[in-house]
Amino acid sequence: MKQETEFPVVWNEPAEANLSWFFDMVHFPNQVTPLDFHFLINTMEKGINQAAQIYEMGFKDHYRFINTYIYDAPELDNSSPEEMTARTASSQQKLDTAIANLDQLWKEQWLPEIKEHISYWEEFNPSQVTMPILLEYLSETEKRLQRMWEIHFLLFWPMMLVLNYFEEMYQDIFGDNDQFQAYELLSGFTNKTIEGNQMIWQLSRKALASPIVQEVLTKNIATDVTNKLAESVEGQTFLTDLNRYFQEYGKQSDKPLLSSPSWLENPVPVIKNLQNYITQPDRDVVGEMEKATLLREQQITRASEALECYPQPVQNKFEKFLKAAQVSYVLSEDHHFWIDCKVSYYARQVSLEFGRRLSESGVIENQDDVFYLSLEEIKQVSTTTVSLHRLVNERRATEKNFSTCTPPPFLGKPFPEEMFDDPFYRALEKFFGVMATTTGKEKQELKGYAGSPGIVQGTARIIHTLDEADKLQPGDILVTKTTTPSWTSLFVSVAAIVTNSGGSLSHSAIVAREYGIPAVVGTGTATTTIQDGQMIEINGNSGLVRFL
Amino acid sequence: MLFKINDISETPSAKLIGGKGLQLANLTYLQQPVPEWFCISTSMFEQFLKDISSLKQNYNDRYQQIIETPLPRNIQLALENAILDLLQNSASNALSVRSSATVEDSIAASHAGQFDTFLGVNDVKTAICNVKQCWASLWSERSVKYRDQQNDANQASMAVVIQEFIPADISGVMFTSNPVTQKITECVIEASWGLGELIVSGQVVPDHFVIDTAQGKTSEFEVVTKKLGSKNEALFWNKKQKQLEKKPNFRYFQQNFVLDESQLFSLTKLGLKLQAQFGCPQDIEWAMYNDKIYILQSRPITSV
Repeated sequence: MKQETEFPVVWNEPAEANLSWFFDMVHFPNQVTPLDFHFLINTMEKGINQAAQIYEMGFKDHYRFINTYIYDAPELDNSSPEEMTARTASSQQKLDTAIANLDQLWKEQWLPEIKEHISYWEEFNPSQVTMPILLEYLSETEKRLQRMWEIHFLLFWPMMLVLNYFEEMYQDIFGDNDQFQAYELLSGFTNKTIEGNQMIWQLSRKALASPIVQEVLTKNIATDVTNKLAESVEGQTFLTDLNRYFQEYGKQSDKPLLSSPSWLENPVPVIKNLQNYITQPDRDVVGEMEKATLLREQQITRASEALECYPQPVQNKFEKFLKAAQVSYVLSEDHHFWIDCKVSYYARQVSLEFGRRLSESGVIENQDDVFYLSLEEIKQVSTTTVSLHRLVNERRATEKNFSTCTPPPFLGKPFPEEMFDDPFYRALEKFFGVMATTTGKEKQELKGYAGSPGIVQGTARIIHTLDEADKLQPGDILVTKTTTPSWTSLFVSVAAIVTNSGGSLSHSAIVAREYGIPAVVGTGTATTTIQDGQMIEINGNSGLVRFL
Repeated sequence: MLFKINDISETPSAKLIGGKGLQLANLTYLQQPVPEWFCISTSMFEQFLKDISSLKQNYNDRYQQIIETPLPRNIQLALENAILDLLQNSASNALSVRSSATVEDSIAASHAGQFDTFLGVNDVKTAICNVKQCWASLWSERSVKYRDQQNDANQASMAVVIQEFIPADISGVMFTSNPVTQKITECVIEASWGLGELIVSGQVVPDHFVIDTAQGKTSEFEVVTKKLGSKNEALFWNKKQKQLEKKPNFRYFQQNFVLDESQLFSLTKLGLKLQAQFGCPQDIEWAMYNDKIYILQSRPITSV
């Protein structure tokens, strides 16, 4: 009863109550705005369903904007058992073909197309065009976003499936006493996340080599750093390097939402990161990460030796899964850089242009009020002077109203148990980790998924945005809702990681392993159960957080 | 004497080379893909027995007696040479040693599994010991009891087939006519990973396929039923340790069909050819190794 008053749910259609809804904490752990839903999430929903149709996956995904949070429900096909068997076989074949060709598909088809979409957006300057052309651009952007999401899921499903196939086969051969060993065969390759992080790290080494730059970074607050750097020649050279970084890696933010400025627009999180990095003059991060490459080679040799006892088809299958899983491990980071970040960035740019025009014409008060409108509303009022001030204020009030609530992890009908006994769902669980939230909690400990091995004690630091990076001291344990790749530059500076969401194949877990720091992921409630500043012990092998 | 298929001086008969041997001889004459083999004929067995003055009464004693009695020198030498020759020509560097009793595999009574079979034998000494074990199994309790019931006690003799061992990747059975529905236009194939022993003995649930062969032509075969078996274990040949190992099967292999359509159709085609050659529906044991199909056994379906 209490939950109903705190989180009332009104379904558009009664049938919706019969679906099983889950709160997607990996992608949308925070509140989203109406425009996020109508622009980003709607195009994503369409893209997912298009991809699901291509792979004949037998379900349709639904997204709902409930009390400012995002819920997702897969609706399974209502086909007969015979139809289902035939469909599953056909789907399996399509996914297996994609798995076998993943590297080629990405390099030769998907990435070139993504780059084509990006150059379309790059070449268009929204501020310079008339309203009809801007509206046309908006519709074209919607179409291209949908296609970007379609590619995202054409990649995502085979990628997750083969990571799971590989892990299961590895465990079937070697026993499942240590799940991380399987990942060691995949680690130590560079990816866009690591490359970006390494570039800031190298900038921090450059800063340490220049007393002037080092002084600017140590003596000033983050917001003043850019201006102060511009005052000296050495500072300007450093700024040029920094801008090169922003051009390449700056079109991302810590939240994949329209209202969240990218680093290109607001460099403060990156500057804070740099400030943090220069407090670690003796670290050799690049060297530390080479260990993973070495370990990988050793583990692959060990696996090949063990496989000699098996018939050729088993060896061939393992080899294929290993190759595809290595590609997937890299793409699980790279696709975020190329798709998720770019989608949010370019959708935000066009939204901001409408925000600017609508606030100038008085439809809304401020530019960022535009995030509280739907796409349809924006299109309707684009050439009018109708005031939507009240509507925006109401929606902002709703947002405020639900800002402190804890959205229930599930809504509607419970997920059927048998659904989890399927390699596809086992694969998704490793990414989403949704099931962990249902486990009971002891007072002295918090249970999650083992994300990256190791046991560490330290001070818990609850961080909600990258902007709080300056709170972190070396040796601290980062506690956060979720970490997209954009967060992982912080991983160099902390001793361990705890997240509310995600599984052993989520971004946070993968990158934590690359950095060799322990992680417990998918705890469900770490950011509310753990107190900021509290001493905790995290066990990345068992997935347990102990309060000390 | 050693019966070799290219040796035209002897006409193969069940009396000479046993039921299994005769089957192999027929398959070989029909140019079916049979692993290389030769046979130690019943006459050789009987020559060996002649050298033993009196056979012990008790089975265990008699077994021990046969194992311990050395082979006549001429047999020993001929056998060593033949075994070495086959070992060297075998892809797996290993052999199977199979009992081939004169009463086994007769059309009237299927004696399946009454006598010993040794798989993955990789040295001459063991092979010769296995040959003796096969001989001795003629009097094992279960085979004597079985023959008593069948009223053919004491007439039986024992040949031994020595064959190239196929370290199968996939194996199974095939019925060229559906034994359940009695449909002669349906071919039933059961298959699982590794060697076929676990399927034949019912230790694993194999994948089950029914192929409609009504149109006769391979291009018009159609898989009409496909049932995924649990296949939770597999008998694999460990080529490093040179031994057979029963292992839990991989989850991916359990969750996916072991044969694809083209493999099913190749098997069916082979099965129909055998059915035509023998003139009646066949119950076939087959194996696949390095993408090549081998026929291990083929006999008339007793129930159709």
